Amino acid sequence: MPTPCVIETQELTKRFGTFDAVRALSFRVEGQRITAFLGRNGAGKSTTIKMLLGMTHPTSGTGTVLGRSITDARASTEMRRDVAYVGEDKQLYGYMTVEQMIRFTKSFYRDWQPEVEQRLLKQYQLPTGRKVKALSKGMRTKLALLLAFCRRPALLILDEPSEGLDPVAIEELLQALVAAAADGTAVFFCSHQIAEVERVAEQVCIIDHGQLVMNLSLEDMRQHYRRITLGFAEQQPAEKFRIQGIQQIQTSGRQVILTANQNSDAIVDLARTMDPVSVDVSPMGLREVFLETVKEEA
Amino acid sequence: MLWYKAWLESRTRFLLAALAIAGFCACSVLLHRDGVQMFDRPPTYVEYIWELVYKGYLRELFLLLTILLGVGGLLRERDFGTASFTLGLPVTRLRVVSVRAGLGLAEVVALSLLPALVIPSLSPLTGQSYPWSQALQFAVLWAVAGALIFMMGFLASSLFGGEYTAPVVAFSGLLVYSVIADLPFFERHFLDVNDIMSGTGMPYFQQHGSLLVGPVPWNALGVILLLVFSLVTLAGRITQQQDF
Amino acid sequence: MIFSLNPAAGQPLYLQLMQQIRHGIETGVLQNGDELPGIRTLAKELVVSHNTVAKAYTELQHEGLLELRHGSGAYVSARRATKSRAEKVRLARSRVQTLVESLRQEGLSDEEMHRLFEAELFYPTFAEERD
Repeated sequence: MPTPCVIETQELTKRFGTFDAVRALSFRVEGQRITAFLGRNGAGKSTTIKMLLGMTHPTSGTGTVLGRSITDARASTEMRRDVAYVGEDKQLYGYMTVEQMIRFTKSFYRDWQPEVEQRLLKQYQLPTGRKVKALSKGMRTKLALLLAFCRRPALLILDEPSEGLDPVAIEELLQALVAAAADGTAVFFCSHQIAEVERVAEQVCIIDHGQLVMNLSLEDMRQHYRRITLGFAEQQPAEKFRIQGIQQIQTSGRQVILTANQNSDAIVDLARTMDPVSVDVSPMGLREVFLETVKEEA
Repeated sequence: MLWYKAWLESRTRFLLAALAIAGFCACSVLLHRDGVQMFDRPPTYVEYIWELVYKGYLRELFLLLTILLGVGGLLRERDFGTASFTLGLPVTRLRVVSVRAGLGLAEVVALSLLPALVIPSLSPLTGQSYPWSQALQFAVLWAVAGALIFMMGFLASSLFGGEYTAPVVAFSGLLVYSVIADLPFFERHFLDVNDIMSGTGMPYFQQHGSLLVGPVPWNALGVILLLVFSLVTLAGRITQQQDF
Repeated sequence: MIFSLNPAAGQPLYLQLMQQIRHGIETGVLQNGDELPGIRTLAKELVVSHNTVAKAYTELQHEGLLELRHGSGAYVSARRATKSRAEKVRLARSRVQTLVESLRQEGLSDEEMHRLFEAELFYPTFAEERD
């Protein structure tokens, strides 16, 4: 079943003075799934999201969200009807109470669900009469999440949603993301919590120094990415291992550590012909893949 | 509910301004007997009120307060971190800007009416009487002039973030404008907002007796209002170009 | 039945879920007619994408182990043939126990044994897996 594309960019670039926050970024995010957007601090994640939502104007390049151009103000405003966004700041109007924030936000959308509002108010234990400036960071985050989850948007964009939340709240957040995705909302979120991303995300886009360096499916990663550690009686030159499917080669004394992203069995076959004294094949977790990918660029 | 938000943001400033203006007017009226001591020769009641309220002190206070009413906007929201929430709403930036401007202008009109309400109604308490027609005509002059000054503050807040930068820039701008408008070369050609508000030197004002005599200068006021609306559009365009 | 998926295990999550459901059926923990949680419910419980659960359920339905009734959930449809499967697994378990014991006596550490098994299992890799 073809999935509709919810986000697409072509050569999206943002330059601040002489600094390129985002460089020629071209990627697609498909609908009906959970996609994670990973990157170090300052890699360009928030800037990209702000460009997608029309908060920042791209220096060059184009993009669409839910089929609507991000550089057209009217189209962008229409698009935001169907997109729920929880930003990095999670600051809400300090002078409004929780109840006023909800009433205010509710007034802009047709798809508000009062039952979800009641359920989340209770679950998050948010005091309706308290002003936002008197809320702790965790409660503010929960309120920001509530304002997004009470709707049925086509796309949910979250920037570091679990920041400031305790483990129980994080678990509830992940469940809410899974439920939203199951209900048809495409989820696109940034997070530094690799463990969380690894559980719920199906697709991962990695951005580093403003450029897209990887866009992979986690199931593919689990199936094909392997760390092959070979031990030899004598040191081996790295060049011997430049084979199709090897993403990275590291040597440490008489050890050669390979990162294979495909055909690991054929590679191990080949390695065995070089008479290694030890062969170790192990799967790679998202953290390792991520760290290797961004270190490569450094 | 953008109007509601704009109201909540400006409510305190507006109410304090109203209190200050109403308070000043009340004091001027009630302390009339002491107030006239300041004059060289005994003024009529109308002259007295004109000197204190419509020419001098309250007029300047009113202008300062309208500039302060213009503080706020998306640049301030960026400082507080809420800009991304507001901009994430399905509303155009132009709408956000025009609602805030609209509410501010309504507040300026309300503040302009205050002296017209307080002075004629309290004057009998000291045995004086102030004509409603004078008070209301001044209210109209102040509303339009106040709208222009408000937009100066509003425009400054669309260009500068920071807590004090915008009002300081706007107030400095107003001072510069007042000085330039007083220079002999410009006196004939410039629309001096200060003089429009007080009537000084205007054809519709009679210096002797400090009375508004002629018809309200609707043409001049119309030009100012056009300028006000263009400034709102300008502020909208400026905000549209910005990155948040 | 409680499932436990390990995102770092090097095996796609839907395959892990399929294996655990199959294992449950083979050992008799899950029996013919038992109802499994709906896709959305199980996804929330395990905190994994609903696509993962959906894929596992669909594949098992193709294998004939699950029956997906539209709207009312997933039901185990174990056939008689799996009984002998359970037997096979039980026999295999005792063989593994014997082998591990004898390798231990030869002086191999658990770590070394673990790595031998993994290498053996990963080397011919997923030859049995269908695309």
